[in-house]
Amino acid sequence: MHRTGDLYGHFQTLEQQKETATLGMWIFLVTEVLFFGGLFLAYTINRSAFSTAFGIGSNTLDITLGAGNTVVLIMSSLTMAMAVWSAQVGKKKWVSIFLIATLVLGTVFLGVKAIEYKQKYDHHLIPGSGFDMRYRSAHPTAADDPKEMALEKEEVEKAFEKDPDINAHSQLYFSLYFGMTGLHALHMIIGAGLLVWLIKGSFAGRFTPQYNTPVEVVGLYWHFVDIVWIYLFPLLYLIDRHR
Amino acid sequence: MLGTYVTVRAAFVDLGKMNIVLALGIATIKATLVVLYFMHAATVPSAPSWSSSAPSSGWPSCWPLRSPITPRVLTKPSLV
Repeated sequence: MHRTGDLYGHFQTLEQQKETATLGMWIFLVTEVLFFGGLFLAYTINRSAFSTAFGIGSNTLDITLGAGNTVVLIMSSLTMAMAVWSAQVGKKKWVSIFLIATLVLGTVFLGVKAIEYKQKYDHHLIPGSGFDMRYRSAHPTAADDPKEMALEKEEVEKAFEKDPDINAHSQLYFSLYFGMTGLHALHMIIGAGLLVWLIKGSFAGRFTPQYNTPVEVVGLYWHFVDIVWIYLFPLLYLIDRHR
Repeated sequence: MLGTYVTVRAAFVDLGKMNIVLALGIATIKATLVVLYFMHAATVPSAPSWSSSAPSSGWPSCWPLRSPITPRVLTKPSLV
């Protein structure tokens, strides 16, 4: 494709090129809303049909890790916005610094998610033949608080009384939990790859006040991923916490 | 971050069916702030004022319209 500097042949100006790319990203984000929208709908229908199972499943999640990850992701959105601003005003050194900070925060988020997944594996809460809602309270570890475990056991037994098929119905919750958070994590991994590409470009001094479209467009994508998590956190982690 | 703190605290208070409404309400406020300030939907005067609130209230088809540059791109002589 014909290209003069940063301007591709089919555009008249850098501004037109930037606006077209930005609109293209917004349209892509619409398709992403539709993509995640289907999952949110499936979640809503199943939560309404199996509220006890969804409540007991949600209460097994670590609220501290979930809330901490929310803060980490919001911070990463802030550093991303700062990277875009730095590129727009020509602070080349700060573009790299803020992009690296965003990548580090994104990696922390994924690391915490991996810890949470490992916990679910250890507690036999991965949907499939080994799934057992009673496993955790029946096999406490030395690190578990006995009072808390007794309370959890009582809660699980009450849930079984209410819904004898709770193991099957809780698997629906965990299938949606892993499906939705897994897809979100996949988007984060793709975003991290794009950040590495941007960091490489920023080290080469590629982003200037005249040309910073890649930083801005990837920024939009990163903020969108943040928004998805903002909704996932209360929906998955905070069901029936008051009971 | 304040929104996250309020969401978590509110989840432990029994508000009946309002728990979910409150949690999603706070999430929508947070998402709107991200769209308006981090995604710059609030800073471009040519953006239609109603378009920035529509997406986070769950109307996906409005998302392209909230792009601050939409009106300018669509009126470019070279694209018409």
